[in-house]
Amino acid sequence: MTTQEQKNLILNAMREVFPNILPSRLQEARQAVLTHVGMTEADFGYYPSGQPKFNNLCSQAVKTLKSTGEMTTQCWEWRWNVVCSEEAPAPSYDNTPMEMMMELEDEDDLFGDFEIVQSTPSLYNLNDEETMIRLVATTPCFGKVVQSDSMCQGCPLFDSCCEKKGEDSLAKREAKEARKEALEQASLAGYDLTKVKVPKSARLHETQHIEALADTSCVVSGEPILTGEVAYHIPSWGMVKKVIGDSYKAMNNL
Amino acid sequence: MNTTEQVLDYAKSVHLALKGEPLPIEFADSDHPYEGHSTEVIQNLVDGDLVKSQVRAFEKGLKSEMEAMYATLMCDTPVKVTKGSMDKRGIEGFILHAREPLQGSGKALFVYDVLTNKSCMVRDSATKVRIPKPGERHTLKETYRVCKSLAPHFTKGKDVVLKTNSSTGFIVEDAHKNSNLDGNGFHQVSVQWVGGETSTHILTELNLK
Repeated sequence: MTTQEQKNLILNAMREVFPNILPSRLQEARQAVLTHVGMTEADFGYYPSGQPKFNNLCSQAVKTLKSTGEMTTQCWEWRWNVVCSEEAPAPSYDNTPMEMMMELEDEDDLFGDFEIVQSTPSLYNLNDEETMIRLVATTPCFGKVVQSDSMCQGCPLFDSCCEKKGEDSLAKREAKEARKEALEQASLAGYDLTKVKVPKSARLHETQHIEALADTSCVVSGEPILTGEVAYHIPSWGMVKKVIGDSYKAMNNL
Repeated sequence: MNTTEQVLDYAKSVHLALKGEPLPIEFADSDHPYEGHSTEVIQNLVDGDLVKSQVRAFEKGLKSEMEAMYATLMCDTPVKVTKGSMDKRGIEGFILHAREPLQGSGKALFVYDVLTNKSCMVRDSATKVRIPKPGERHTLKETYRVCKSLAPHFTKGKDVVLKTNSSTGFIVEDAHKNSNLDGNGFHQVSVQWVGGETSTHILTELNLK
């Protein structure tokens, strides 16, 4: 079977199978074609590089179907356009420069299994949550966009990054306001917390609300905390008066 | 709140206020920055950074004290045996006696571990100085004291029981100090066990029957 005959076989199989199975992922769709024609990848032969010819023939057939409007692709997902498929004219494979290029085996090896999606400017489908998560995870500067930076402007995450930075700065602003308010509250109660150095070890998020079972003192103000008084214990720091504890909780959004 | 005493006092008051009971003691108070109270518990109750730095400073001071003692191979210096046969290597004890070796350079040391009652004779080059564990030097002093006070009671012919495995036997000679240690070390006795074998033990290892 010549390459042209193999291509026609795949194209015809796609026209018969795809209206029933698409939308589907690239690999599954290719497998469906193989099943339909009752052949394996090996039956289509291999390139000298060891890559199976079938994948490239599929790519070319898909390109033809796309050019006739019969199907569309988005990343690795193939979709069948039902309306066009019924009235699609017989495809011509070798009448465009792109298709001629695709017949070059060296070019085929370069692309391997991947479809060339010309309609999408980005390499990544950012609508796909999984892709987005992976991309963000491998981008350490995410959320630190500099809008005038040309590197940032060329980044596929540019928009999301701007959004994230906006959120961050909003959160920072809110935290700052909360801190200011808490400091004011403490100040009204007679405590100046601005100069208090909180030890790094202090586990503010584990602050415990307690009723003192014995006399002790406030680690911040030094005032006595009497038996029965409601106070807070901040692990790895000490006991604090209720007002002070409330202020620290507010400051840290706890 | 700067000194270890102040930190400990505050930790005690916080513990009492939180739990309604005094701060428990874990070790005898020798060689411990907070009189034998658990450092981890104190670290949780009060400024953890301050506690950490105080513990570090305490250990640094203790280390230099031990190094000074080790420089003259003083008795009761804590050491670790780092060379020698497998039964000696790893012993963490105190120097009970140092003397000129029968041959070779340096000093021969008699090292005794009061926590496991293991002992050995090693050359000083086979040891390195270490920081005593919390309460370990207290145990050492107690061992000296108890051995001395029990010595008159451990006399020839009396039945004894070994504390670790309840073996029984009788004392074959009155309690005495090891003659090789020139009056140093603990009072000890030789015991003949029911099985017939004889071994030597310091008095804190035994109970009179």
